[in-house]
Amino acid sequence: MLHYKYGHTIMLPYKVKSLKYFFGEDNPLKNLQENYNKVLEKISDELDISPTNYQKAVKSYEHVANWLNDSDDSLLNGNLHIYPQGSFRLGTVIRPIIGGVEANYDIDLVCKLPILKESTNPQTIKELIGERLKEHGTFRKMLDDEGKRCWTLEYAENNGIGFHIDILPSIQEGSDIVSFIQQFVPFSIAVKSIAITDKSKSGYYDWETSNPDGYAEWFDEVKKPIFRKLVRSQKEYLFSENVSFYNSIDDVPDQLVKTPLQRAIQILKRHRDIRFLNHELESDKPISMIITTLAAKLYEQEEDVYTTLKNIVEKLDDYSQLLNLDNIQYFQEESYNIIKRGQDGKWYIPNPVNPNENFADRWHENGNRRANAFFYWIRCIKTDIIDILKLGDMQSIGKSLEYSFGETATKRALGRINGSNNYPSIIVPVNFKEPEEIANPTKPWRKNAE
Amino acid sequence: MLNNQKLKEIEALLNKYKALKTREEKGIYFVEGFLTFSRRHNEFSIKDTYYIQIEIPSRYPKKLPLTREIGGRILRIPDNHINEDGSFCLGTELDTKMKIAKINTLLGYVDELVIPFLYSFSYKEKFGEMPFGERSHGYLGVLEFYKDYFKTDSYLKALKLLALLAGNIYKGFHKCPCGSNKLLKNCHGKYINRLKSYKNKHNFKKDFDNCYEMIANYVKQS
Repeated sequence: MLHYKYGHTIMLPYKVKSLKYFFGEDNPLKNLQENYNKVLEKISDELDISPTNYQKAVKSYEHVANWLNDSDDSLLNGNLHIYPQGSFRLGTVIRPIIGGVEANYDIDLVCKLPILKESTNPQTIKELIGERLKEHGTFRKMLDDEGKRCWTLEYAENNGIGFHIDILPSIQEGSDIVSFIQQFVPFSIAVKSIAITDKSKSGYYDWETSNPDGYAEWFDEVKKPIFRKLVRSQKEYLFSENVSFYNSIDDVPDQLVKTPLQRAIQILKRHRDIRFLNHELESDKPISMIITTLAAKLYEQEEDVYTTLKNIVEKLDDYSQLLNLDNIQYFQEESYNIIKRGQDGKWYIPNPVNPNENFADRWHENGNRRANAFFYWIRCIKTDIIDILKLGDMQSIGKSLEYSFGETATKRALGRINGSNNYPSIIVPVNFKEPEEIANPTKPWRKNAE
Repeated sequence: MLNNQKLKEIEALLNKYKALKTREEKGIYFVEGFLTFSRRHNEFSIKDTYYIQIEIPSRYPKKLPLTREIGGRILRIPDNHINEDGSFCLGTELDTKMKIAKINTLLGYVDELVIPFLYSFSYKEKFGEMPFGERSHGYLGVLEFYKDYFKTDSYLKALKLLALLAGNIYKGFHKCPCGSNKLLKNCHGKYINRLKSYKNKHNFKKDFDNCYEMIANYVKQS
């Protein structure tokens, strides 16, 4: 459009316009992709835990760890190794949606006891930690019923931002299993395997193998090149946004630096949660471990979220041909190693740090229900997130994103880009009245006896 | 006896916190019951309920009410900032007086002092530390208040400024003892004058004497 002095607007002929589109310096499609990428980044920020809440969470789990380590029991006292695992450790945490409502963040802690596997049994280990937690007046009240593998502390606030801490009692895995795993993965990772306790419905305890620490190391290795590229600028940004919070740039924890891979995983996870909400396939939706593993395996150090998502989703879409058993022959090559399917129809997505564990072990059940759900979801992402760039303008894209990520998250993300911050945060439920801030509180004191 | 003003204040309090009730015992008035609050500090919100008892002294509002937790949740030990009579130690005398100076009503007392105190207790239960910090017990805490209030870098300077309040020696054209080389009226004078409305000279002298003695003892020991 050209604007003339007297207020007339003259539409350019179509040809001229298209020339400008494809050869002009300010290619609007390119700009659009840049803008869209910014929106995706902001959406992932909205899904994430804020720096202040991150610190809260770290403090609270350190408090739990100190309490467990402070026990009079010589087995526990000072000997426990307690560290975070799962999405909180990987930096891919999102606020979960349960029953259509945003629920509390999950924080998973591994609690490793220095006991040999031969000299104990799973029930002892599980109960040792449970009993110690119950000795603390507050933790006893916050403790949930015994879980299958862990103890859960509810840090839920009725209308604030809550989280719960899952404490996973464990010991070092036995040498027989470690040496088996070592055939497939480097020793430094295999040796990090732990034995965790597993309580069946009948109340019988057994051991299971897991390796959260090794997995995190594998994941860190994947994102290392891009992390190195981004770490300085992102820490500077986080520091400038939270000056009152950190003393120096070095105080900003590495976990808050976000690579496009982590952002893409957060977006994929939230898209899955919304897309499968009240869907007939809801119980078969892909688990976070599958999303995280596949995305990390397919990541090629792309520098922006949109390209990352686009490449991951397009590659995964190719594998949907595996749904037809006749096509298996085309996927025999070495290059197609992300998702495998055997002649018996079973699917394989191995855990990268434990080849014994197959994340897709139940994909073939009920007529490939889970596999179908997965590839259906990949198609949805293609339309909902990748192809909407073709809509051509930010407004239509914004509308369409609301459908995928919820209205508040999208509006807030768009608002942040336009410089205004008037939208309520996504982590606040709809009918939530912000509690009053405590300003300039007095410091408690005590008179000495006179 | 309750005068009109007190009645109005109690009514306003019960209106906001509906689970509280009044009770009279041997001429002393109490407000008792469940106090539920939802407050936020640095983006962290806490919702909690305590069973409390507020004692309204006959000399209220000159003397502040005393609040106790009577549900058995807060152990009555010094570490929890509980006085010997079981009441909360919400802060040093001047801390608390200045905090509610603007809204000197029972409701202000509960909203600005009691609830932040309970918030910090709930917080400590979960995270093992006090969210707003805490004052040392006894007169060291009092001196900490003066040091914070005058924004000086040493206890000694705070004590020198306190001496001006305790004695009758404030002159605007004297040099300020904080070491700024400015005249008092251009430096800490305004802080000193503001404090005068909260306490009389006699009470400042008491603070000064005790703080002085404490520092003197400390110097002697080391």
